[in-house]
Amino acid sequence: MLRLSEAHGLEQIHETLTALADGHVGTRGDREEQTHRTDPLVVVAGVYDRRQDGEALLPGPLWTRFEPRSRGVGLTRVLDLRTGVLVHEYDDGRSVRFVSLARPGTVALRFEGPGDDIDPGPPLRAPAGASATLDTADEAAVMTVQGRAGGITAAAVQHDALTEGLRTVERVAVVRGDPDGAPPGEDVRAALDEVVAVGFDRLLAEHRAAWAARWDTAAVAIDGDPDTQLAVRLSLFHLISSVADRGEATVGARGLSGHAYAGHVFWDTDVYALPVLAATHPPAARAILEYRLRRLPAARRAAQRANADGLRFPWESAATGDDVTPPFWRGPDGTLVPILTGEHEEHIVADVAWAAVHYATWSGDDEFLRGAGSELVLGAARYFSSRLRATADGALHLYGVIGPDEYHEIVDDNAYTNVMARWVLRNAASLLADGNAAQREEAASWREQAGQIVDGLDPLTGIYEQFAGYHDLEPVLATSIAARPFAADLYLGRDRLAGTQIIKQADVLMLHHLVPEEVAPDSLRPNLQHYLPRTSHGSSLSPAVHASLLARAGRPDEALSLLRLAARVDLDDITRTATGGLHLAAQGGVWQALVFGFLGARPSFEVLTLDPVDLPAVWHALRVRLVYRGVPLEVTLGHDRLTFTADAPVSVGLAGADPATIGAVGTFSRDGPGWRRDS
Amino acid sequence: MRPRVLAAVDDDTAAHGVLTAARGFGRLLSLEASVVHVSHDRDRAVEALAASHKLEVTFHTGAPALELIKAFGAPEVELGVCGARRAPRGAGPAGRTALAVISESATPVVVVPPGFSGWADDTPLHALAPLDGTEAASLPVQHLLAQLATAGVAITLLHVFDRNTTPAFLDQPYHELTAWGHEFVTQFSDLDKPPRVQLRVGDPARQVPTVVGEELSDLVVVGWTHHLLPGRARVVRELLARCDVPTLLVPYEP
Repeated sequence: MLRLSEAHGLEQIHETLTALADGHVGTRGDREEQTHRTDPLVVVAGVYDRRQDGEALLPGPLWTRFEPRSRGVGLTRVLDLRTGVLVHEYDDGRSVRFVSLARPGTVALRFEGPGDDIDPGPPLRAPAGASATLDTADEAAVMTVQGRAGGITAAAVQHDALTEGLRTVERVAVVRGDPDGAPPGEDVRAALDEVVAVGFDRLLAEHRAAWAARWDTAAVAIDGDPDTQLAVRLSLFHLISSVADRGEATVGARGLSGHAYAGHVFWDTDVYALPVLAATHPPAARAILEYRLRRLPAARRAAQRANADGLRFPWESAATGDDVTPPFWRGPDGTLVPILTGEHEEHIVADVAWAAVHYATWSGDDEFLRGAGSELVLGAARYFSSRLRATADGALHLYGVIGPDEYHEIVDDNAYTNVMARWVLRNAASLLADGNAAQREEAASWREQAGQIVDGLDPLTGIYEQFAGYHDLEPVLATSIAARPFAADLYLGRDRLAGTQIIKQADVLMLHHLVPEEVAPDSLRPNLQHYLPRTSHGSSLSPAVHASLLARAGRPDEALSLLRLAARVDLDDITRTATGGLHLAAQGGVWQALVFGFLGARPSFEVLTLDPVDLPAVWHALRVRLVYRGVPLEVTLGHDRLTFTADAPVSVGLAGADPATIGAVGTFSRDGPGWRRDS
Repeated sequence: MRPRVLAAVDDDTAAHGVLTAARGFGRLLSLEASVVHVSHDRDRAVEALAASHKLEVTFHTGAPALELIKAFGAPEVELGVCGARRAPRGAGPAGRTALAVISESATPVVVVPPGFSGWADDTPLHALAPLDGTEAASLPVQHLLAQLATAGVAITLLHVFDRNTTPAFLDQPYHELTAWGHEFVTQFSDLDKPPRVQLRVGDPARQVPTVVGEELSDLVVVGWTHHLLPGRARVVRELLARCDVPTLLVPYEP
């Protein structure tokens, strides 16, 4: 349970933290009665408005609003993470609301109390500043908000009864959106009639059951650390809520919880959010990839414009898959700053391909990878193949890119981009291994190219140079500048910063996190030693990845410190932007730190490998539920013991032990550096 | 007595600007305006100037700063107005009398730069309110900002990031700072209509007066703690030295 007592200045932060969503419709946790301090918002994933300053999620009809009260009343919000129900406890009553996970697009609320100061007003209201059309007939209201591109239609009924002094206001609504125009009112009205026939209580029961089913394959428990456990569960709750599991999932950086980032899609979705869903609810991960698949034409056009082959996915994406990165902005020093990420941050191409393979590996959906999904990998390979440039010594380079560390722009041979490109070429070659002659020839050329790509590794030290010339920069440590995390670009200024070795977030180290098989053995520790002190963590994506890697490196308590930072990004409003929405990438990273970091879980097509590391001293046990190749399982890791339970036989490899097919239960005890099976 | 704006003038070229500002604030805040002058004798020049502005003047004798502090402290005085310095128009540190008055007056004081000739009648005014991102500094100015907003003044909040207030995370700066500014407004403004927000980075003492000029602000509203010890109140000192628009100082106890 997340319990938040409203206080002045925290209203909109609490609205964000208690936002409800079903992957399609998101509704912020605003209080029912209108005040000027609330920021209500209803959005539909993938439905944008085309504004003068670019595309942004279109605000839809508000279904939670009541008329203003005559007096202020205190409010405590109680978000039940287990059931996905938000309760508003007022001084004079309470409301219960949910956004149905069982029936996406169905929303409902019930208010009960003495209600002498309550006036629910109409069940639907237009969002601020929007023009909407409203039809009322047969006790139902149908409201349409049409933007310059997408549109949202909502239909709602409301019943208001007073029985023996108890006022009950019940609203049920259906919200539908379409990126090409508002759905017809009669269709949405028909859908409303269906759910009204089901009734509020049964809708609520269905919704609770749907959440129970999701938690069955996603639950996390941290024995001995209830605060971190709550923060982790909150992260998971919102991540699960934000991703549709049918059709396509348009997952913006802030999900469906606020205005910030305009609902635009970044690598946050492919690399940070998708892995969580791939391992807990694969249909949602598949839907994320469907978003990319439906925008292949735009990716092809972008590659052509860049005089390259294959697919060039956009750095910042919205409705069409065309890049929507703005070309410049006015920085806080008042100057006009060009934004180069859209043109140069090319690792997104590899990130999408990685996501496709990662999904297929966890889920067992080989058919996807051989079929529609292959385009994502093959297209990425063709892109990088055509972008590589050879020098006289036969080495292959990628010039003029931006890596995950955005403090250093337009660099050559960024290690992350190059090694990911190499990984893509090798994986794409594998996909074509059994193809026709032309395909096998293409695969062979990719393998050859992969072998020639410069990766910046110094074999003597095991350290990868982040990009060509990085080691020649001023060797300033972030740790010597300010307490971390800090936005070094504001602190030092961009020009000064670019001349230093200070980096924004994991760049080289992202390789150890995403593709450990692609980096030199035993290179994690030297690169962690080298880059961690240079990292300002100026991105909310950074702490969780480092937590994962510190766990892998046998530094569990340091890992916990960064894990807690990542898990509390929104709870503690560390970014001072929580009013604008939740940080989905940080949420996904938190889960990854637990599963990839502490459990060391790595799937292949044949076996799920676990390589657990030491837990933080204050943790007694970590328990995680997962799904591997369709089999729900649970892993419980203690300091000296690991228990593995599965609903069906699954092949598990534990470091130090031979892979074994585990039926219902397997228990293992520490045996030196490895594990010994007990049963 | 009715609530009023009290303008402190001397018989110098700055007096006209002070009286103009006093009448302007009186109109904005629906306050009567009057004048106070400290001298040994009744000063006919001051009398005539006040009369030309249709304002009553009272004369006090004694040490000017002490008398003005006392006058500004009268229960009916909601706002004091004084000149920044005697010097002709242009930059320069605030005068001793002005500094003494503002550092001791518990009443908000408008400090008017020399050469101020008033605001145009037919254009909406624009107020800049620098805030350091603490509740202590923002709460004292909220009531005045709300009054000004009601009077039709457009409000812009300004925050200058310095070494102490750099955000922890800045994922995509162009998105992030927009969101940061939005939250800043929700946290530090209680106006019905959300004000604009400007963000800058650097030394607040240098940046705030610069933004006043860039924004073409007509007045500045800033909370401060009265502390004029060396090295303190740098923003206020720079505003009084460099701005050619009135600065409304709202004192508060830290």
